[in-house]
Amino acid sequence: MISPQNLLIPFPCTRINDLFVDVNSKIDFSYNTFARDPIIKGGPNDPVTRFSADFYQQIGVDIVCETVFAYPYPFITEKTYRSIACLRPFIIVGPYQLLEFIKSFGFQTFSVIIDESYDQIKNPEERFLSVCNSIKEFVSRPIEQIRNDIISIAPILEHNSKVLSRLVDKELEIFKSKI
Amino acid sequence: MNIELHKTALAHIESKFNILLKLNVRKFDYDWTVLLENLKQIKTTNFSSNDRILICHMDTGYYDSLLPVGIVTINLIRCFQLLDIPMYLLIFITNHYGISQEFNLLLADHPLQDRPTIIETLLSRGVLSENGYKQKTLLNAESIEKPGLCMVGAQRSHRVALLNFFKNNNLLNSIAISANFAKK
Repeated sequence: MISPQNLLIPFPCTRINDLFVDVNSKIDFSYNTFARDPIIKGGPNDPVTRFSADFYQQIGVDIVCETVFAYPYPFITEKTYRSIACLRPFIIVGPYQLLEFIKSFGFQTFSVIIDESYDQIKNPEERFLSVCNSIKEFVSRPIEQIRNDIISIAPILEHNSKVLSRLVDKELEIFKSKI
Repeated sequence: MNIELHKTALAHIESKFNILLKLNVRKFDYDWTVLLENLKQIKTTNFSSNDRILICHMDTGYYDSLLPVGIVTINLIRCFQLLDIPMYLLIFITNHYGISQEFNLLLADHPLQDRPTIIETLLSRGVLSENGYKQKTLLNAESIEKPGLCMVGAQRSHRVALLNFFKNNNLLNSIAISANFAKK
């Protein structure tokens, strides 16, 4: 008799196998502790404060390091919604074409102030280097320029907030039509 | 079992079908005998046309570059086949947009009338607010004092690489960081 276990692929050694091997080999794992900048107050993932974290007002761009990076699907979590809810632009360190995916729900992104070419790079190592360059370029700007940049994209931020406020209802409508 | 699906969406499914079993993939993806045992308990010779098995896959799966599909999809289908449970019973709800192509590939020779229902949605419980997010219009740019924010939680290879990049490029003073790499 064939054992079911012989027919099933054994459970993986990690659930987050993100195929990030090439860059992984160059990683310095010296970051192994807890760190928090004094600006960051409270628990950002607390369901009550998740979408109204006041400290976002003190920052220019949210660098969203999503759950997975090299992954076959555009995987989006609360980490991205949080930036939208708190009216800040984001640069996403995440899967290929995640920005395209977000735009398909009606959100707009920030190519007028941020180089978003990283989103179109399929190779994970090249995409990682590209997104790092976008981050470096943005955060190296003078703070006054960043303030002006944020003001210049205010209509996009407010549009995204509006889309987010309707997202659940819209998704529920689609969901009900499928089943 | 707290199903990782928005409660309104769950209520909708439960109003339309007789749900025999509901499980999150994360409940068994480390040990597939858990799913097999749950399926054995509900297996019968005569399923009603209204019966369904609800599986929610809202967390990350496992992919190997040697396989054209994910291990969750392969093992899930195999579990149903091992116990000879009709595939039409399965309602598979996921935030993996595009995963239905994996089912199509693996069930290419399977009868069309016995296919699972795959629903790709953003409605995972806890990710989108169930209380309703209210639109904000107050934008304050004058209060900006740091160019960037980067909140990473558990340690992942790309997060470590990113923080290394910040350190090696002297960006740590420009970016407010939180990390909890003690959490795996």
